[in-house]
Amino acid sequence: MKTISVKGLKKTYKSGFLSKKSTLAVEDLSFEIEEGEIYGFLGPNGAGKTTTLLCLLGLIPYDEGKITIFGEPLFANGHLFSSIGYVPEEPALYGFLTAEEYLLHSALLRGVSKERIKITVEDCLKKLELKETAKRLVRTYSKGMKQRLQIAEAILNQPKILFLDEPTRGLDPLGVKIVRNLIEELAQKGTTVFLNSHILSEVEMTCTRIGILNKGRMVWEGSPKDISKENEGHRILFRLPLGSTLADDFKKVEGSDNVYEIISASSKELFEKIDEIKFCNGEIIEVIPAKRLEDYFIEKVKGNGD
Amino acid sequence: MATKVLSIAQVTFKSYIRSKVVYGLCGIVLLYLLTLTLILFENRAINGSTQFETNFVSISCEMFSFVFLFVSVISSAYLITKEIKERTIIFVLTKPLDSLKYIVGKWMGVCFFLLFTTFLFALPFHIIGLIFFKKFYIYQDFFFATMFIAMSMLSAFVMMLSLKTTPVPAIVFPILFSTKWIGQLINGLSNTEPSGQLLVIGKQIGLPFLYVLYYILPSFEEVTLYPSDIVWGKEFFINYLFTLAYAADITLIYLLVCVYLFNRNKKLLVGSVT
Repeated sequence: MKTISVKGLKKTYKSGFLSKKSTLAVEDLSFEIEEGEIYGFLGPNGAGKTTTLLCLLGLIPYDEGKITIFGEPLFANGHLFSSIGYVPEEPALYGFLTAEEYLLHSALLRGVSKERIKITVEDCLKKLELKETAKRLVRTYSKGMKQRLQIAEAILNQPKILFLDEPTRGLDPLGVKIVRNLIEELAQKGTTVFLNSHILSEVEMTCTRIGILNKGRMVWEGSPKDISKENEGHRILFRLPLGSTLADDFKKVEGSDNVYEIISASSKELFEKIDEIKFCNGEIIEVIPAKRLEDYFIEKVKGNGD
Repeated sequence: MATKVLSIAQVTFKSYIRSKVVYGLCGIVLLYLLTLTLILFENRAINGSTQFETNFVSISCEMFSFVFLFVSVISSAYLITKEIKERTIIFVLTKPLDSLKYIVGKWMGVCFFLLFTTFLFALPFHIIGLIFFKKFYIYQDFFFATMFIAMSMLSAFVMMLSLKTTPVPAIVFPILFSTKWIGQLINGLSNTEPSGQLLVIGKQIGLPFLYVLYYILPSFEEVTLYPSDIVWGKEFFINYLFTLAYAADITLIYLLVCVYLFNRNKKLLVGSVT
């Protein structure tokens, strides 16, 4: 069974006098997410990502289309929330509670049994490295700590679906690593993750499938591997010995003395180029796909919109 | 169900206790204590011992009801609007929790806070009573308890009003309304005029608790009491019962309206913060 299924979703925001002015946020949006998938939802500002997420959570109504979670409409079945975790873009925490109290309250509302409640909360605090500060009031937390607490709250009770809206915003590199590992760990245990993010490298590294949204429409959907398949070309970075007579044949990387780059058009050409560099006593530094998600994203968004 | 409701009530109570509201309240209590002592000394010179004691009871009760009125109105008005403003409403809406439990939990939280406030305000009254008159005013505890019920009922009204829009009408309207009706009712605990009228109206429009009370106490309209007569007795209990029934009826209406408004505005509320 599909965990999340969206078919022909349409959402417009009404504004102005007598709600006569309408702004289209999402149109004819369809996608499906399987169990255990990490789905990255990308798009420029105002593309309709957050609107889609709020529709999925049943927090705002939509005009047309059908959304089902585990085959059931979410808005009509509030009980599904016990198996859903949500991390909003902006932290929405009770500042007057301690982190431990906040998680206990959340666990109670989610219906965690009394026997399991303490262990569950402690486990979450430990996973997000908040155990030492668990007795502190949330309002005294830093932005990154608040974000980690928000994530800890979302993963209480091992959710079957985890909705993340910019989860690594405000986190330091260590925090980013903790969250990334946590997402991967949850997905391995069968949790479906819906990741809404602007950080393309994060999506590229973490997600098993990606959807690119522009002006309310899905412009591309596939996996990071598909990008490599579609674009066989590679960028080779290498170092040549100083004073090499062959240096003039290659393009020098700006700001370096002896680092050069070369672009191969196909896999066959890649091996030929590598042999050539080795022949010149060159040292290979890095071989990366010539077109990364970032390039792909820009291409798809510009191609669709303009 | 009880666990979720109590958890919301507990969190709501903590939101007051850990905010600046409590410091403000402590300040008011100190001021109250100081004013009370000053009034006592003023009166001691003019009046005789009995009048002096009556004044003490009367003035402290009036001061208490006045301050308590503002506390209950302001603490209830921001209860839900604050959740919307600070976006924590999203935390609530993404939990398996129906609106009735949420509203009941919030209201219970305010009631706990009002109980705490009652204790905080009653304390100096009893202390001064013990020091100056060597008396512990037990019957006054019933006054405070009744006031608590009436104020929690008022809080319910305020919450209902603040649920829909902003806290402004929720603050202004009940103050105007309550000074006329509830304030008079609480202050006197005795004024048969509004109580009798409300009882008849309640019976006519079919408010269940007042309806029952009307038939249990057919002689209610004959009861007449004035502030200085607040004593342990039949009349006191009749008034007490009336306030209870009135509070129960209003609470019932409040809960129904709140659930309706909450369900209708749920999407609107979230829409306004996203």
